[in-house]
Amino acid sequence: MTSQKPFRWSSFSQPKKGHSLAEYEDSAAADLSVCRFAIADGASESSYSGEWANKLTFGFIENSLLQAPNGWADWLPPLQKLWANSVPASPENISWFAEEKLHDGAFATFLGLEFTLLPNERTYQAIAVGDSCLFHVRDDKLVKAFPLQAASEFSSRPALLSSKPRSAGKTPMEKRLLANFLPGDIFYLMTDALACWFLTELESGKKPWLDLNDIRSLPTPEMFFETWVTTQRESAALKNDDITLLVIDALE
Amino acid sequence: MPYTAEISRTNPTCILFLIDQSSSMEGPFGGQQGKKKSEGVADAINRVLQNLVLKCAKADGVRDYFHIGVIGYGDTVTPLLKNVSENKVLHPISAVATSPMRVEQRKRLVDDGAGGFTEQSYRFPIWFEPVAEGKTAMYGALELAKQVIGGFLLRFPKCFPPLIINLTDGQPSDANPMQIASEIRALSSTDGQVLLFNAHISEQETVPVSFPSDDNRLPDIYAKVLLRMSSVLPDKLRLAAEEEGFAVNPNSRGFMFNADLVALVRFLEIGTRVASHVR
Repeated sequence: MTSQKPFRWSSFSQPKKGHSLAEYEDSAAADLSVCRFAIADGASESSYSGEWANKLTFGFIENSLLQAPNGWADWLPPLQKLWANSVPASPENISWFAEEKLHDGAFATFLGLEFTLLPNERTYQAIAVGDSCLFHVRDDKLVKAFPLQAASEFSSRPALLSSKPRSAGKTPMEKRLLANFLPGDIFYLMTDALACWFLTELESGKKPWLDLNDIRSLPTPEMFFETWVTTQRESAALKNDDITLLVIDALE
Repeated sequence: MPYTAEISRTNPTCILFLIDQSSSMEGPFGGQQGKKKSEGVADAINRVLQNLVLKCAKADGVRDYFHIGVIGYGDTVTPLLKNVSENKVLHPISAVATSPMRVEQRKRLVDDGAGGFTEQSYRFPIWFEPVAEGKTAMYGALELAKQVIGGFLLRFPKCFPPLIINLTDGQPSDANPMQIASEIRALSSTDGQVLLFNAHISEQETVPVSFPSDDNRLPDIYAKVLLRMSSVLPDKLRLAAEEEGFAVNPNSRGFMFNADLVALVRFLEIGTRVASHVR
């Protein structure tokens, strides 16, 4: 990363234990040129949800949901079309259950983050559907937790975005955040299992970002992340689920 | 023993259905006008099996999170799902998924995404047809269930505790089932005791009752006996039931009276559930 860029980022992922990388259904995307970052978590009970999570994160990088005049109504339908084009179209040669899952569509939680750098002000906006989370840390203190603030808020039934156009409830159950940031601040985006661990640690008086920063500072952080995830799962501190972490450092 | 074991392909759980096929099931079903009790049960079991398969179906096939068995009882006790395999009671759910007796073409109205509805045809699998003849060998069915679950627990000692769902109009003819029910509930994996749920279907056209903690609203002695035979909902399932909008308390039991059976299995968690309110 060059020093002209206002941010530096790194991402980590681990599939659910007992599952292959091909079965990983989270997604993360980043584009420094537009200062946009996103993560999504495909719901395990739906099919082709990894593809849907990918459409959402890369869709956010390409077109800002936050700047779209009509919000979701502009932003979501093209991604739903992309998803539909990426899955089998004809039900003739597929099983009854594959057909039914295609009818149902795929589901995912989503979190998008966009930074704005003005001459006198640095702001960020975040938008979330479900329990993918953002944590904003400054000077070794948590400044914001978004959209969930407590470990007890996690459930197995988060709000989700559907890959199928649905008329009922036009607006997804979104949450938005607008806040300022300073150079040196760090943003941690994570899918639910890791976010739940993060909030649990915080609630017991710890600073969970220190563990993550330690991993990031190592020469082969991906390898250490995998080991760390395995250890946390074995001690039941981390639920067995797909794990995604995207860390963004705001630079001077 | 907290009922927190993860349900996975390497550590699956087991769901065993016991279906009353006695002649009294020929009577009208109070829960749905114009249907016999046997038809209500057949419809319910087919929908529950369909839901369980869909929970496990991914783009690459059906993952064996569950082993499924269906035991019918009338004059005799018979393992059903013979289309899947002649000899065994329990089957991996992937085998159940691909071996229904037949698949019906049905139609339904779906959201067209533009404020209206459109008709969509879909395939509905049938594993189980209505049967109503003979007596009610419920005790015998519970005995076989105990044996089958015992075998499963030897194979998967750390599993999420197996679930037995007994569907009946509640009048056993062979023996009092209370003792064997208690023996079944005493079986356990390292994660908790086996769960025995009962779904009572009746000719009475009363308000459905789901997960009661006492028998105040239950209309007859058979329903009251079945309630006593039913496991108290473990905390995790009770919370899931609460999230789905059911009124429950710490003494709520896995019992339903003329209610929608799909709710009984909706709580079984294998990951993020897709709720009805999502966009």
